[in-house]
Amino acid sequence: MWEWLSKLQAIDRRWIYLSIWVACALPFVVNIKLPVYVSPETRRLYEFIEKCPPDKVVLVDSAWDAGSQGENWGQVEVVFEHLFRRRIPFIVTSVEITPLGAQFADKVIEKLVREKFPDRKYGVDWVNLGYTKGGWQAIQQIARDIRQQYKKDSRGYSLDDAENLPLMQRVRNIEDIYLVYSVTYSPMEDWIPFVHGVYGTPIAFGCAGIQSTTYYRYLLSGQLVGMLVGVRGAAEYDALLHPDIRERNSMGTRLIVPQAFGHLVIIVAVILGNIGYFAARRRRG
Amino acid sequence: MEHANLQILVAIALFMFFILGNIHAARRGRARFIRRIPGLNEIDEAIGRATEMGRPMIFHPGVGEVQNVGTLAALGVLGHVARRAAQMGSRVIVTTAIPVVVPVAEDIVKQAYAQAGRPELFNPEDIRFLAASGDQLALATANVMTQEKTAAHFFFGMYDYTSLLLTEPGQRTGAIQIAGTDQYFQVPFFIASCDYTVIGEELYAASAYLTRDPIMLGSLVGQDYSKIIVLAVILLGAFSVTFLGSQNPFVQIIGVYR
Amino acid sequence: MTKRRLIALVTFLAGLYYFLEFVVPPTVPWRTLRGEVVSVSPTAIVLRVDGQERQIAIEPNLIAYRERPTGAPERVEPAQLRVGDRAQVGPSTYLSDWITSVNNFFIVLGAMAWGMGLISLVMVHSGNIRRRRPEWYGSVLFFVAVAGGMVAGLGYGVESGWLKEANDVVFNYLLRPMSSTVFSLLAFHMATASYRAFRVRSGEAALMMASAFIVMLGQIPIGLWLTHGLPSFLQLPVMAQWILYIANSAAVRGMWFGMMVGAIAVGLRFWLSLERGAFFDREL
Repeated sequence: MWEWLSKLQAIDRRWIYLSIWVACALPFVVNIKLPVYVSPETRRLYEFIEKCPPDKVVLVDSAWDAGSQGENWGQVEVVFEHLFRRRIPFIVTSVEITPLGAQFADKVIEKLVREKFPDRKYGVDWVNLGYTKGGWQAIQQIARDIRQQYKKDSRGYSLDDAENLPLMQRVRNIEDIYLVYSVTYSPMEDWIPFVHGVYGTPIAFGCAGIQSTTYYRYLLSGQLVGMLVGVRGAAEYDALLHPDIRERNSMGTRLIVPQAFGHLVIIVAVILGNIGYFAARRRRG
Repeated sequence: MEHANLQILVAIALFMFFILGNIHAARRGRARFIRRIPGLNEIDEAIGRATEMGRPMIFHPGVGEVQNVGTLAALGVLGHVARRAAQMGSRVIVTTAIPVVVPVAEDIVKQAYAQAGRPELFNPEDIRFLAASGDQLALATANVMTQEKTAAHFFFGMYDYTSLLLTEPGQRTGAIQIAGTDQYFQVPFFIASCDYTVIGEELYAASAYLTRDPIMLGSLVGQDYSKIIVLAVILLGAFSVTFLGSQNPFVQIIGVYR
Repeated sequence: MTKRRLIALVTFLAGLYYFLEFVVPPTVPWRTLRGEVVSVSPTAIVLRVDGQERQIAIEPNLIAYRERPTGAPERVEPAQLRVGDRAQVGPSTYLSDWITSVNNFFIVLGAMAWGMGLISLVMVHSGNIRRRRPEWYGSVLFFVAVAGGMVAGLGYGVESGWLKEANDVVFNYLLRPMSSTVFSLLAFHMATASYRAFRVRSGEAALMMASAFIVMLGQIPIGLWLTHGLPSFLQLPVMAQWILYIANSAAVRGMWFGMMVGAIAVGLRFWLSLERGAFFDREL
């Protein structure tokens, strides 16, 4: 028996590939929804947006594209939904990382407007300023005077165009912003020194699961008010928005299922590998 | 934030004083002890094995720009790898997605072969700019691994998610793999798929460790003194805030923003 | 002058500029005033410094910093100061005025290296074709792709027409999905890498595996389901949070402090050309 078990430490990698593929693909075929535990970093962001006063605006820096869509789509989707629901106007920017960021944010917003909030209007409830280069200098400029960095929005309207962009007429600089929420694979830490450090404006991040380990220290120090971590963060936020599990249908809620199955496959593979390892040691005596 | 304030100026002056002071002391011949870093010890072993097998090696200097500290440290390691390879008459292939790295790496490797008296072994085609993005570079490098049947792979520098795309195919070829990165979140991937991994600031110390040059070792000691200063400030800050409240004189001297 | 000396000199001068730009205050210290703004006109600012009112003429080289409620300085145009602001005003030290031009110079220099990158690629692939190395036809495809990519690149920013479509095809419909595909390969590599690496060979390895299991299970609903009946501190998501917030943050902070000090040391060694084993090296 030890001999048979020891073979488990050298399973052909193709079997593992196949198991991962099945585990990740199956939830797309069979409709499953799973309850989630809401972590403190997600809850803090949710509660912070709940407390937003009516005259303030949220700035969402949505700088992601197809590469990290799996994790970032759900993270902006739930926050946009929350803002639409509470009728908190928001401005979308896409600083530095990818020129496609603004287009992807548009796709998410279009879907929400079509399916859930048909009465929300561009220019009143949200504005998409589009992509800009410039790294931390751009961040600094947006904080000081948003018109110095952006002359026009992504649709070509001037920021001073009161007819098409009434929202922008009451936004000049960071003083008018309640929260900056930066979403991308690995958000730029420059938001913390150049915006939170100088102006005290609260910052929140949405990042890939793997990158989150470096940002937890900012939650502890209070430099981040909240953070959505990977698919998990998006699913947790959706759970806060919709206490009834049947109403949840965001990208995060859907993708947490393949992620859960994928994790399980890895855990089972590691356990099998160790059984094989111990069996081989036993066999050798 | 764009300019140093007085406190930062003092800190920079102190750090420079410790680092340059220790380099000066080392120049005058004071001996320095440096702890063992297993990953770096194995570099020579890996080069030796590749030479015995008569197969080339790959050096991948990360995906950071040339001015990135991790890339600079990696180029220091490349200098050592190329020198050893030249002494043993072995071939090093450098693959990169950063165009500026091409002439720099070419210079390092060429010089190493010339100094070892084997300039004829240097082939400019071995310094390969294979793609303009990290993920394409990873696929192309994996191709080089199978085509050239490389026997040792060195991954040093700044890495992003492409790290595993390089090391997993590399692992399958059976080559010895040694990695070093200052990107904290890529370390687990390297540990899982490489034989040896050099973590964080060990990468910055790598060229000092490998060359055993007293000047470089002096700089490491200076670095340690600077770290003691940082630790002391952290401890004093924590104690002062705990016992004297958040607006105590120490906090005011350090000058943190609210 | 030898090549090595020339490189060392240029490195030192370029580094010196950035170093001075950072450490030299942006305004001449002995001519800088700090106080509360009393009045602002297009030609002068009046500041109250230690109870005394001081007038400063607005000249082109005058730089003003407004002190934010957080205590951090924010650079503003002198005319943007408002009565009641705490401000710091003084003549410029000029170093920062050049920073954009110097940055641009290095960006242009970096762009020139793209040509070298392309030459390197052409050398490798033309060599493959000439010597009929295995899979040399891939190298033929490389030249086709370079030509196609250059033409498609002309369509960047074009409103309509076939060039725009070519650009869309190459960048949006080919490159983007292909990079997503490459990214998704990670899931497979990660599974095999952890299967191979996580063996309980020692106490440390057991600890590492246990924490990996806790975090992995804690991140997904199954962790909650498995342990929901236990006291809260024994529930997997709560334990995972502890690992991420406390153990992980402590390690990350420690590593960052070490790395930042290390980065200063590496920077100094390169700046002053003390680095050994680098490209301006002598043999040891």
